[in-house]
Amino acid sequence: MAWQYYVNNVTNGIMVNGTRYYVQLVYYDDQSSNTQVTALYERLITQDKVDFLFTPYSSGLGFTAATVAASHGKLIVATGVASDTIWKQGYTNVIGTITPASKYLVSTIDLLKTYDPTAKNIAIVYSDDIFSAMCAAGAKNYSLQNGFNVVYYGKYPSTATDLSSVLTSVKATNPDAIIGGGHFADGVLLIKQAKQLNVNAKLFSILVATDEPAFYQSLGSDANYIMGPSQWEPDVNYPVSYGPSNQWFVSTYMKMFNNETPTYHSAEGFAAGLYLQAAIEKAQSLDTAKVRAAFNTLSLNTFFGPLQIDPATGIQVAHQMVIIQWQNGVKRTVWPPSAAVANPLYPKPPW
Amino acid sequence: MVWEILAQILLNGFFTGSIYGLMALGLMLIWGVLRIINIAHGALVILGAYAAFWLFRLYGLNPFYSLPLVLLIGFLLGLSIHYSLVKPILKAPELSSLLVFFGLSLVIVNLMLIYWTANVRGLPILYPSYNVGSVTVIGDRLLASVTAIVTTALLMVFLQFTHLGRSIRATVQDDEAASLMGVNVNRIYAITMGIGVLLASLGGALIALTTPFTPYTSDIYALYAFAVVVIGGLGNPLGTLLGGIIIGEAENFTVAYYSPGMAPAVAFILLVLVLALRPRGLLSRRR
Amino acid sequence: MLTLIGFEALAIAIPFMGSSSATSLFMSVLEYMVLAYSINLLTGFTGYVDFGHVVFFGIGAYATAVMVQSFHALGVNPYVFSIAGGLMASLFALILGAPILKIRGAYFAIATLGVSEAVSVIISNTPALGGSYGMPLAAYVKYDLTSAYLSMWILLLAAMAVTLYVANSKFGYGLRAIREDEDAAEVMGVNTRLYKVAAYVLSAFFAGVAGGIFGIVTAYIDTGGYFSVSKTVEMLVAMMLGGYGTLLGPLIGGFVLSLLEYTTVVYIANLHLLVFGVILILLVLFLPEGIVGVLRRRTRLVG
Repeated sequence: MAWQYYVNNVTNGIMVNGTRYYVQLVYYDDQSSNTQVTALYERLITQDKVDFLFTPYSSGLGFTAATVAASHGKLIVATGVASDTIWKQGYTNVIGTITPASKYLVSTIDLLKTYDPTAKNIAIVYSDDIFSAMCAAGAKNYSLQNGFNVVYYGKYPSTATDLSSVLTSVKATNPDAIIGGGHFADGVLLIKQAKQLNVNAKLFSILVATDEPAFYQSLGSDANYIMGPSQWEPDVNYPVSYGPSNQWFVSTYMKMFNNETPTYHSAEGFAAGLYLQAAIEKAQSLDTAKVRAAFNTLSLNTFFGPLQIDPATGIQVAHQMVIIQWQNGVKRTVWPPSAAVANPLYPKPPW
Repeated sequence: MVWEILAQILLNGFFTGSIYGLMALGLMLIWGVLRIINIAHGALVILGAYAAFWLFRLYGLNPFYSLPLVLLIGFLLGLSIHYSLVKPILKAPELSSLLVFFGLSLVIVNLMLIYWTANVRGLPILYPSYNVGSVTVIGDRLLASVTAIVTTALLMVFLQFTHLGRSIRATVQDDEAASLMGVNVNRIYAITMGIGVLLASLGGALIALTTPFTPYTSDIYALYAFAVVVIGGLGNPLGTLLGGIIIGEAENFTVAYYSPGMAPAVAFILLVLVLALRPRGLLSRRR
Repeated sequence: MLTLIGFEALAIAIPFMGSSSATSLFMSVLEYMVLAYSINLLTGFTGYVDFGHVVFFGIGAYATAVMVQSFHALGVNPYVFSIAGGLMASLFALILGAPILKIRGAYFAIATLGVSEAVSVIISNTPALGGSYGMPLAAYVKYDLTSAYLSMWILLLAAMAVTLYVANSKFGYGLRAIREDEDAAEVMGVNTRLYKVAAYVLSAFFAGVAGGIFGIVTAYIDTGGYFSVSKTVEMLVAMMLGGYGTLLGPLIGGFVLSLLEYTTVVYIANLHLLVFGVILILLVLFLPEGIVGVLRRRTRLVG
């Protein structure tokens, strides 16, 4: 919605062959149900007659939306969909905006390697769902490639209400780093019980949960030193050559939504729109095939970071995860050096 | 090291299991007395968790201090559910009560979702952990576990030694005989619903203390409560507590020594096995 | 009956009029109807409340997905494989039926819920079935809403035909006798065990095929979506709303409920489930025989 505002009021439409096009967003609630997604995307395409589509949130629903879009020859820009498999299904109409799941935890391992060459043992615990499992598998591969030992690799149900015995097993392996997690509730539970059971590691990097302000509200000072991967942060500092500055995005978003700080979900939604806008401008057409072709050679530096796809599949290859760390109650970007605003605090002292 | 881990797993299972047991007490009581399965039990538990959470968030009340208020709300809620929904269907076939409570559960869960969103709620760590040798005792879970044991004992004393409790037990055994003996069965039903929901709220308050939750968590706790009651049997609070501990231990041992991913299946496999072996439940009774 | 046929002809015509949005809306109408027929065959006729009926939908979807992945090279229309999904669901019901249908009343309801959750967890821990990743099918099947839609129609008509047969046969009377009083039915010479298992197997088949068809349409199957308790809720409410144990109840209940969902979904998330809950309570308290029951009483009064 912030993107709609940006196009219609800041750049004054998208200029295509001398005509200004304005953006109108149409959206429905999918109830996280695959069968609803089919019905609603059909509705968007045939009844609302939209020109371009964005994916729903979550990988499972993304498959369904991409399939419907493909059958109508529509381009669909993926946001909130991170599982790599979606780009292995033979679709060519799915444009990735965000870093895929298999690379989510890769930068954590780079950070660990840079700051502590002596660290050897990594424990990976993850939630039982496609996104987290793919992040964990990617992390495992990358750890092994970089000479680490993966001393624990296990999943827990995504609805887990107690992780004490998982953590007891992790503790017994004496890891240097504990990485993984899944979604918000289990991420909070993981850290809470790690403290309660006195499970220590020099680095904790936990998916999704760490990025939310509510993470600190839930855990208080126990959130300090905890890291997590993020697609984007309000304080990132990328060089921008296309679209608004990071500062403009954050302040406009806060003005539009009751002073709420944008999360990376909001930023990636905006970035997806911006990415599409650039491709339309480059193609100088609203034709799906021409816009799709324009994406192939498009390479942008936006407030969200660099964007570029693999021409064959459409998967995002340029964008990278940043790593945040809670430092004294403040969430700071600590990695990669090109976007960081603070140095990581390492190692994490024992609880 | 091996033994220390074993001890830690045993303790984890005991804590988790006693919370399961406590959470299921209210379900067991209503099931035994009214012969109604309160499918909405999980939703009522989570409602109790929200009550404890909001009292903490808004007024800074520790869940143990706010307990009297939470329990009172639970008791009154139970009474109102009884008079509005349960009384009209007491004589109706079993299908009716199952579906009414299913409906109630949908209403409660979705109202919570609409008003309080699906955001995860939980309390920060309020009680520190202790180390006994190399075994770690989690403070809030220890307190929750002690609360579960005390509550079970109090409930047993209440059922055994008070006039009201004896009337409730008489109704569990045979409601017609009880009413012949001068027990006001309808009043007993209403009070049982009140106590049942009160116990659900108590379980909820302890969940708020120990574990993050959302409205969706209702389903999981409802399922666990069913499993606990089926395994522990009807009519005896101690059986319910033990049923919870059996599930807690089985689950934690599965996590540590078999596969963490399979743990949630354990309770349900136990549940189905017990039912398949004793199709009318552990405490079958003629009507 | 005449108006009913006219309505079917109209709906079948929809995919050929080119609006795939209307078709996909009707897909969910059909899904509600078929699943309501499926659970009606068991719960509606025998009174055994199945809180885990979605397990057959899920097993059907997974079995179909496995067939599609293994045999897509044959080049046949993938929707044919959904029959295998139905058969697999029936097989599961056959194996499970004898022990689980011994369990009576509310205990049965709880046991089925347990089975459904356990199967879901086991599948998400089975790497051959995709484990946590689920099973994406987009690489094997072409998105073909028309075939899916026709398959759902065939399935609905088959479910209605079977229900019609059951309603008027000795088998159906036996099932109803079980619902009224199982012990008495047994004394009257009804082979209750056989009858119950047969109803279970039949009802599983329709849910299984429906799961298979939707698995192919959505092109991605995971345990979260295909074993969700709320799907069982939808089936039960649709059946209750229309009138349980009747021929037209699931049709009417499914139709009303899916349109209700479609109209509320546009406004507030979760509103439709709240509305379903209220409907369910009101139905049981004031309208236990559903819409069909009311219509029947009306016509009887008029006649």
